[in-house]
Amino acid sequence: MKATLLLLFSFWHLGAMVVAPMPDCYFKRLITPVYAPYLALFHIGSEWGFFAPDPGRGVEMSFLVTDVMGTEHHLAFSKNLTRSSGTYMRYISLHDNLFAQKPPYIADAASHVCRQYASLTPKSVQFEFGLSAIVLPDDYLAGARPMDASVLQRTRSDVFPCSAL
Amino acid sequence: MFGPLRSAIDGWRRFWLEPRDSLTLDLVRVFLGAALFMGYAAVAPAVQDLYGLESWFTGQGRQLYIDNPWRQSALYFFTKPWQVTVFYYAFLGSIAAFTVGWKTRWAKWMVLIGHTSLAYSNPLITYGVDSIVSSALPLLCIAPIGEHLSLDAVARQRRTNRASLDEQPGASVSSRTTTALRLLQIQMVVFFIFSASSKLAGDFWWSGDAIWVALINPEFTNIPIAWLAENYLVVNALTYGTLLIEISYVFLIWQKASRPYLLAGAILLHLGIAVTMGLYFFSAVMIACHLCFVRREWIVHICRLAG
Repeated sequence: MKATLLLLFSFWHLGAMVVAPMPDCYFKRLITPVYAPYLALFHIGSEWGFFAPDPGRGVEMSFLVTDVMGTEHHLAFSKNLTRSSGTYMRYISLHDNLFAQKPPYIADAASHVCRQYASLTPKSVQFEFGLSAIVLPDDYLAGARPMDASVLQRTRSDVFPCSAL
Repeated sequence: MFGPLRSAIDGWRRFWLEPRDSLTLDLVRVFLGAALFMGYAAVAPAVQDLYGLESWFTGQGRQLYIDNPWRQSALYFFTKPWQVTVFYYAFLGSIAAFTVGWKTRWAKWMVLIGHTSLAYSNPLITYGVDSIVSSALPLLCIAPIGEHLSLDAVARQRRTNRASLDEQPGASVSSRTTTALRLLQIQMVVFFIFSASSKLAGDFWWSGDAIWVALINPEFTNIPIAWLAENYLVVNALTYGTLLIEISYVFLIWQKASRPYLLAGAILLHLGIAVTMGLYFFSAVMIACHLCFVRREWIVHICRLAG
């Protein structure tokens, strides 16, 4: 009985391991509802595509806080991160995830910024992202860098009024 | 006629169920616990900012998670900042107990609950390492770990010694250990199958430039890379070497003769990621999980050499 249960669990868990990272297809859409609660409960479900299909480009995040007087404060975030800090990768993940700009999550982050800079009496918050360039080796040796202002691709999020958050 | 079929079924049952002791899984426990302690203790100064009630993930986004009955976190029930702090330090204590094997039977579940709770309390700050830990912990929980390389084992030995000076505590074996070990091993293989196959869809991996592109990303640049630009063949070799290890690991890690080489290759790959990209937590967790392929005999041999 115990052996049978263990085998059944093994097959079930094997299925979960494979279904979670599987590319989108008819079979995955069919089977995912069966596995979804199990995958969610144990926080399993990565696609394991690290640095794939190609390694990503770096993101630099900053905030544009407008106070009640209408003055704009440009506040750096990524530039203030310390490479040797134990929180570095957590904050890198934060700005990489916010870069995707999914509405409820970026609004949550905007409300955090409003609270964090309450001393500025902020009226609204906007995120600014800079996407780094891929610098070729020869250009790198010639002095070009992926975060040079001339090559950085800048985008801005919606404006989030602090009063509404 | 039924001979080969019966033999295949017996082999299958042995693969999944032949009882074994937990030495290999305990090795994984010690290294995974140490990695987890390092990774989580490092964020102590920013606990409230990352996981607190007024963290980066507190409004509608958090509510979407709370509303899903399967994505639960103990932190959803907290109403005061100090509760988050107490939970965090209790979790760190559980990881320490898990690592040294003290009350392992309970500590492993506390670590699983703590890790899942923190991951769901702020998914905006999670990355690959959290998924790997989430995949490994439930498997360690189903196995009766803590029988070796642990304070529990020392305590059991002392109890036995008190009962009889000559008696040795029985090495308990279990089918659950085998099942958990096999699932963890297959998990690592699945990880590399998908990791390698998704890389094969990328142009930079085919052209041999992927390592350069990864290292030039300012988020990960951890070493001076000018010398790599001057010696670009090294970049090509590292890129194709990464693919070679990930693809061959899937097939050759199971063979007795090739396992040590693949294991060494995978560990070197992650040591390289730690040094060149600064992904220390990720690399330590990956190395800990690769240890599930360490044979029991190797551990015993190393322990004997160490006296």
